[in-house]
Amino acid sequence: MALTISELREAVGTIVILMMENRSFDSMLGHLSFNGNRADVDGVRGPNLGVPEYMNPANGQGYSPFLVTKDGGLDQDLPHDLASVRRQLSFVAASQSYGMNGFAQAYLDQGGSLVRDLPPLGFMDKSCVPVTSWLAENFTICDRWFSSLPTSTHPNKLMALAGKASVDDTATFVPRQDTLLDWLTSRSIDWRVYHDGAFSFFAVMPQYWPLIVGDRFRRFNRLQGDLHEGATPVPQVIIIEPAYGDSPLEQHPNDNHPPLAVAFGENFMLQVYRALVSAPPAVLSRTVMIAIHDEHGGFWDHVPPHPTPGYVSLTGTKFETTGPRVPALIISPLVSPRRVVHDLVFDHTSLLQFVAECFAPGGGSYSHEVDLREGYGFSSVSSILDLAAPRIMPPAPDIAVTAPITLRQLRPVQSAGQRAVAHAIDGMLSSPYRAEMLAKVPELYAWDHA
Amino acid sequence: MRDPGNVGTTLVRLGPAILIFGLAGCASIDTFIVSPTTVCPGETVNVSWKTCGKTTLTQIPLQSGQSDECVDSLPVGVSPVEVSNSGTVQREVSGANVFYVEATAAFGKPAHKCVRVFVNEVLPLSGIPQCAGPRVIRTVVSRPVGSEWSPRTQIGAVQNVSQVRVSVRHDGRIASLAPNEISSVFAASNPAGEWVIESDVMSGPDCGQAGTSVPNSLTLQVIPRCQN
Repeated sequence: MALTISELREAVGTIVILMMENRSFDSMLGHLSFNGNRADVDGVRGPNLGVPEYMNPANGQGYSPFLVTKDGGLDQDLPHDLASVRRQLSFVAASQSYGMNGFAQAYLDQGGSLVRDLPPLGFMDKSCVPVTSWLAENFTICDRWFSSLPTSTHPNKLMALAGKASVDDTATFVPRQDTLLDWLTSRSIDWRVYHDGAFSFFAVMPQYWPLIVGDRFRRFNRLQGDLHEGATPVPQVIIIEPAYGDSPLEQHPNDNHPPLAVAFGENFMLQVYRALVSAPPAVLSRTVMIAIHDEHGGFWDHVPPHPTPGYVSLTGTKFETTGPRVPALIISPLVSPRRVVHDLVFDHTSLLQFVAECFAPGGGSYSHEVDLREGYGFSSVSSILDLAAPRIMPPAPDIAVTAPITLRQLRPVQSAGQRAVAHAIDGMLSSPYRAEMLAKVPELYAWDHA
Repeated sequence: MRDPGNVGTTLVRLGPAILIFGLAGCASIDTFIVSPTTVCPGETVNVSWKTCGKTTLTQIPLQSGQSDECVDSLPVGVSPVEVSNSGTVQREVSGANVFYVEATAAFGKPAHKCVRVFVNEVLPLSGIPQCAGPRVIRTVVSRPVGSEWSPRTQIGAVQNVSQVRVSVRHDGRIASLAPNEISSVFAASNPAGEWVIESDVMSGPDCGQAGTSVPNSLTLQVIPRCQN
């Protein structure tokens, strides 16, 4: 870390963590370098996308990446469980390296549409991701930020929120394990969770149900008022959650999880940014928001994973590498505009390193597990900050994001992710917190009576 | 979780749910097959489906350069045709087309799926190489499932788009192709069957060791032609 702890603590008052779902770096930000644009970004090169290094063989045919110019709902969720990710990374025994060309095969094995432009190989044109693209132009991106584990949502979210994962795949309930919330609470560091949908990820951990019914968990529409009014001190750590597509309670998910179109997530990112810049200058000038995706969601990325030889998860599973890269935007007056951090490597535990550096009483690291990850070369977010030139955050762009309205059904529950969430919802409603849950989350009535 | 009460009360309570679920019904696509998927202009293809829910079938002619990605917003000007839950139809195609099937329930997200028909278009044939000896890599590509060829479709030429020289065997013929070289050795042969593509390990360690210089894929462009 280039900054001293005292400099960092002087500069940073609030860390905001926004975690979207299931998109790779190339799928969301690969367009930045396409067609001879930003050479500083390790995204998709072009214009020729039929080059051998991008080719994804599947059933004997070769499939190339393509620029997505029309946003829309995909034909299915993309495969991204532990076994599928292994196939996508495509370890080539002949060279003992990762080919990153098994994405088409994994999709077709799951019964995907037989077309030339396979959804996992699509990367978004700027017109489809105008907010993400604008943020990338006005703030700092990391093009070496990897999802921590080569598997699905829950393990990767846990790595971001705890530095360790007690599951290897997305499961119904997550076994009791401590997370950032416990770490912060035990150190009297103020925190809050703002969830846009009815459902917070933490609900899959029954240990948090008493907290979820309390005042630390709030709906996202309260964020702007909470920041703007300054009636209560702004917490040191704020976690923002989109409305999850895996939650059967959501009529309008916006988490970017396929098969959802990305317009909903773009609109949510814009709302988050608007809320952020509405904060009083004294707060905003000391705020750092990290906007990442939890994992790649089955979308192609051309950069091989970062090696983590010998890493053993809480479950006993060996994960010799990270998962693929995910989009990572650092949004703050304390970072440079239009900068790409390429020489430093990050994973989700980089968040926890940063939190500890900023707020751990008396210094010290976040945990032994996060120290282990640091040993693999993952840097803290603090290494990105540039205190030499603090600046005024630009106002929210005047971008109209439109998307087709997708009606959702409450039941039947279909995917593994939906089953996990449905299980948690049913669990909450049969717990002693039922009445408080129903009072706080009106959507639960519809679920309870469906 | 819920107190079931007596049977009558339960039925009264479940009534709206049963009604809603009955209206919602299902929206799924069990099978959707188009065959063949690589044809010559004017040939017909068989389109068959089995679905649950209100179903439409749409034939979408593709313009040059237009993506065939299977998203749920159809191009302007195409007209979905309502069909039964299972069936087979024949359709003539003169240019690249996508067949799009959609199943809809009263509530909830529709299911959709696509199959593209290639009409006399170049297709990449590709496989991931494996060691076939200390200094040789090989991939064996069988007839591509994703591009079933019509009887009129033949090989016109083959181009090596790998960045290494390759040896290609198919239909009893063999060719050695430099990068980007186009060969007519396989002209008039049937594209179906086995293609064996081999290459030498150029430099560095033997195959199977870290740092071995091998491409991630071995790829040919198959340039078809139509038999009169």
